[in-house]
Amino acid sequence: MDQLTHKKQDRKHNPFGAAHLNARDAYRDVPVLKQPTWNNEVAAYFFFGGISAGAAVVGALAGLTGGAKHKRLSRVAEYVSFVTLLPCPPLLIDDLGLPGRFHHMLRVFKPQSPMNVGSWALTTHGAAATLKVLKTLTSEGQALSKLPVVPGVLRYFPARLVAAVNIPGAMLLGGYTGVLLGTTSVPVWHESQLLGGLFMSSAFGTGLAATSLAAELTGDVGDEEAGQLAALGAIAGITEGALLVGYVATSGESRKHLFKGISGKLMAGAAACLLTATAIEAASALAGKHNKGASSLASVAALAGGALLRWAVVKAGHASTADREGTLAAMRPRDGSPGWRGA
Amino acid sequence: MAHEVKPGIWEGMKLMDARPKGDAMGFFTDSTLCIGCKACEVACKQWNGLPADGMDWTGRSYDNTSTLSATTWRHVTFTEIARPQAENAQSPTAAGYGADNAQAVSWLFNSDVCKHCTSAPCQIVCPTGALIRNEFDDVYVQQDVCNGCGYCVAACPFGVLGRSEVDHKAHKCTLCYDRQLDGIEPACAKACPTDAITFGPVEELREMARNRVVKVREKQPNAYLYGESDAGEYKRLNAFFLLTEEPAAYNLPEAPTMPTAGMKRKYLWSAVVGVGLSLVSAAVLGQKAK
Repeated sequence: MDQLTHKKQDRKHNPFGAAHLNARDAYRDVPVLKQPTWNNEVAAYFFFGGISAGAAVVGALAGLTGGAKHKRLSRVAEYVSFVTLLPCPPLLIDDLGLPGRFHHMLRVFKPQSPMNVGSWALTTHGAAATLKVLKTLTSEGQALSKLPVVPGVLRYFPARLVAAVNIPGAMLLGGYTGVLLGTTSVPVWHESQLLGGLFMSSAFGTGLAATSLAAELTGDVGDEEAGQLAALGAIAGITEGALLVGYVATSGESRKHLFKGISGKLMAGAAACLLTATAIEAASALAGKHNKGASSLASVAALAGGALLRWAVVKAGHASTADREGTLAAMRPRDGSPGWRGA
Repeated sequence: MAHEVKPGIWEGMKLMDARPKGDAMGFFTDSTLCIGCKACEVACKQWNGLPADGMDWTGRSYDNTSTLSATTWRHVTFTEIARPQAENAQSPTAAGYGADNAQAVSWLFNSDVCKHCTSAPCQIVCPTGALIRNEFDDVYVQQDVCNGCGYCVAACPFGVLGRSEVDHKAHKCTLCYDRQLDGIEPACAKACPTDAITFGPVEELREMARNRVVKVREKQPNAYLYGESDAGEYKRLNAFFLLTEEPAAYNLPEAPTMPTAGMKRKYLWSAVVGVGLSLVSAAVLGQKAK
């Protein structure tokens, strides 16, 4: 209740007790909006969901375009996608007031609610990513190929069908998170059109980075592939940088919350990581040399950047909500919204 | 009864027959009649079995409630204005003050409530379908469906919805759905001693409000109706107000955000980026060995 308590010095300047010369000051310390209930867990969910989605898309594309050439890389991406998917449902479900009612979102299909769309995207992507990994593990000569029944059942899910379900599901999972934040009244989340695109590019970049890092560690990446991944990493980084600048530029006055307090620090870290990763990827792509250390460092930086970005945006939303004057300014009469006011 | 859920798994899964839709019902709250007695707040708490919010003195005014919340569905705002003397001469509120008062204080009250928006963002974005528009055209949270995701809390541009710390579900004014089903007016309207809160069919209330605002303007030329008409992307409110100061004085936004505005473009940007990066990846990964 601290924010509701009047500052003592106000009394000195105002001999009329609680009265104000300007009527709009009467509630100046009471935010118009309620604080969002979404916090660290949601930021973490956005981050892991993004990696899982990005890795799934990269893996599927590598498998489709490269055939045998990218087989190992594609397999690594599948595992990365599956492993980073695992924390998502617990993080998402724990954030609900009533976790036991998670399935209530799956009793309806409601396209006008991004959260409903997102829970369906997570479900389809989750099912497809799990099926993919199971199919790989139970295929000839793999760890679980001796398992009874399961391989037989999995035969009913052809690889192409699973991929066809997985790619759109993963794309939606990677990008809907930004649209979800955008479809609220919180000024710094709502104002820009680009948050969905920004999170999508970050999902792609972090998915690529996690795949590349895992492939470096397991030695599943060839020199030529490493060059391709570096080039892609640089492209994803440049895209993300451009979208980040665009997001800040189109966020109106509420953008100040992206540069203040905890969000400011997180955002500075995100930008630094993104720049580092992109610079290394671009340099190694141009040099055409495969350096395991440099590639791994770039991947770690890209992953850190993606995490910091999600946290910065989520935290900025809280600051933006607490800023009453900023909220009222964002809800001034504007094009298409004349509002209601006195003469 | 036609709308009863039948027992048994399959029968229960069938859609219930919707109750026939009647007139849209709502509130017209006339702030110029409000005396700040808080009878509406108390009546609402009593009827709906809502707990007290504790004894937190704000030091701001006699308003120690501050905002609507999961446990406060009617909230009386207190706005005290110190007006310069010259302005006071014409002000009926300050007529009783002596000439020696350099400034006099006028007091504005308003009984705030869920606006039961006709384009309700909370209802649109609710991922479970817990938030519905009932047969009285009021926005209602079905407590047996809500899973406490908090989306409505972030979506409401008026900061009406709150998530309870006790049962972790979203709560707000039901416009006394239970009382309406029994054909009686909501508790706040019933308790209001000055009829500042009027309950009835929204069409009639709008007519009444338009007449009332003309009358009030004779003495207070700044009087206006908040939410009686569509305001571009934000549509009219089923619970609307007659106010005399700018909306911010009552802690209301002048032109509320419509959260779902531009949603398709946001998805489109996301899709363009995703598909674009995928095509580039396919091109790069599909390169033939040199």
